[in-house]
Amino acid sequence: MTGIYQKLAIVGEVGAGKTQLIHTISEISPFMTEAKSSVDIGKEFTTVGIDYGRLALTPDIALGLYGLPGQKRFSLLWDMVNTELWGLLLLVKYNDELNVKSIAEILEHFRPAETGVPVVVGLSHADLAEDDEQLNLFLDILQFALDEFSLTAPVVCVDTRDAESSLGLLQLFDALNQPDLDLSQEEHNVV
Amino acid sequence: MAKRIACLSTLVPPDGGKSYSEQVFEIFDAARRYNKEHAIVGVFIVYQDTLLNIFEGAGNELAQVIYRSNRDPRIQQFSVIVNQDISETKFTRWNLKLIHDNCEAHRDYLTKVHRLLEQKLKLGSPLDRLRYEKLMSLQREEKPPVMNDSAAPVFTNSLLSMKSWPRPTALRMDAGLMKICPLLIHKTVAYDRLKGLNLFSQNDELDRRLLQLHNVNALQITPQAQATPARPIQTAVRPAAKNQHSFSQALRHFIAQRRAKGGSKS
Ligand SMILES: Nc1nc2c(ncn2[C@@H]2O[C@H](COP(=O)(O)OP(=O)(O)OP(=O)(O)O)[C@@H](O)[C@H]2O)c(=O)[nH]1
Ligand SMILES: [Mg+2]
Repeated sequence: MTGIYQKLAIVGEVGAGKTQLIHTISEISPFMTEAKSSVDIGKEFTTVGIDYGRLALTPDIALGLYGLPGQKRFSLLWDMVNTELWGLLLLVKYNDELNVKSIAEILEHFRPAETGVPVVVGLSHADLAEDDEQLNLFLDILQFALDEFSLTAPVVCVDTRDAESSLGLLQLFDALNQPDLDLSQEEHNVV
Repeated sequence: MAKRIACLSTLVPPDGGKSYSEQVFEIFDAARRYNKEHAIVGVFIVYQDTLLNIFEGAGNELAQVIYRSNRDPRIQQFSVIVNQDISETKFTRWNLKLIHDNCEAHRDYLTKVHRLLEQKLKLGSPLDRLRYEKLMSLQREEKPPVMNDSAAPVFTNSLLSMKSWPRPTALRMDAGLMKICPLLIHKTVAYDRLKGLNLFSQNDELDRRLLQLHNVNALQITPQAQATPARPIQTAVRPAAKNQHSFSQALRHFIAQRRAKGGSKS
């Protein structure tokens, strides 16, 4: 049997938890692409370029994890990874400013509703929300952004530091990737 | 003396490639910064193109806000529907609420808002009445009869479908829901077919899961005209599907192993 290799792209703004997530679920630690950030972004380390992790599921089946910075100026990197994806994870960091601008930029570029790639929106740092009401509001605004790009995607709260939470994401992508069982009652061209 | 002022307005359709939501957030964001500086609290309620703002704060500050809003080119038909003196504020901060048609929590919220405003409410023009009623009619809608559990939904002989994913604050995605939701989202599936897949080891789990989805308004149930003859599920396995299957199995095995290894609770 020839090897199977699938790719999961993880895109998100600075500090969303991309590196952390890959670290949590990957066997090998992400390449050392961390560098001291030259601008004050509120944390000491930021990833320069792509984070990479690889899960060897069997000797010849693997899942590649690609962490991509969420700023538009990195869209060249996005294009390098954005082919035949197994999944696209949009990591959004909860913030009090209710800023979901980065996700709109990412969606604008990746256009997952058109390519049909399974998408999950992971809301990280949800533990920092003051209360449920604030969190709900943020989710509302996120939904607004998804609707705008005609994207039906599950939104889940995720703590990328937590193994169970991170594995749950993989499980969700797995479910989304199940071949259409043709249960549908609508017209289907069964060949 | 503190004041409470409520006003209605209508969003002007944005121009120049800007989206409706961007427009809303721009207005909200500017208001937030301004209100924070001027110790104004309240709420910014958005339903379709109607805005209902409630401001609480010092009288002179509110006057300034009203003036600014009046001049804001992004909104039109601005009118004040409540203007009262208050001894204490009901809000603790400046907040945004986006109202959806089918959300129970939103209906409750609007009920509270209506109670807060009703005594001093002045709906001067037909337009104001129209806008206010459009917003508050959501609030007065009878709760769906399914709320009392004597009328549990009937799944047998019905078609199931999901239009959107349940909100994470209403229902947490777990392994069980992950099995069902991807099959139902934007698809219409006969309950009997779903049952035939034997997704769960426990007999009643499928029903319990569907009920969970139903309870958060995520499930659409329509009676099926007649039972569909069972079609064989996927005859020839395409190579791509086979790869997909092997991959999926390997991944599940990996996840199970990781979980067994522990390292995290639950
Ligand atoms: N409180 C909290 N902290 C989190 C969560 N997820 C990640 N973090 C922490 O947030 C910090 C930033 O995470 P990173 O993984 O470095 O973020 P990144 O997306 O790689 O950021 P860049 O490389 O700068 O683009 C780390 O210290 C994480 O441990 C979360 O859900 N809650
Ligand atoms: Mg990083």
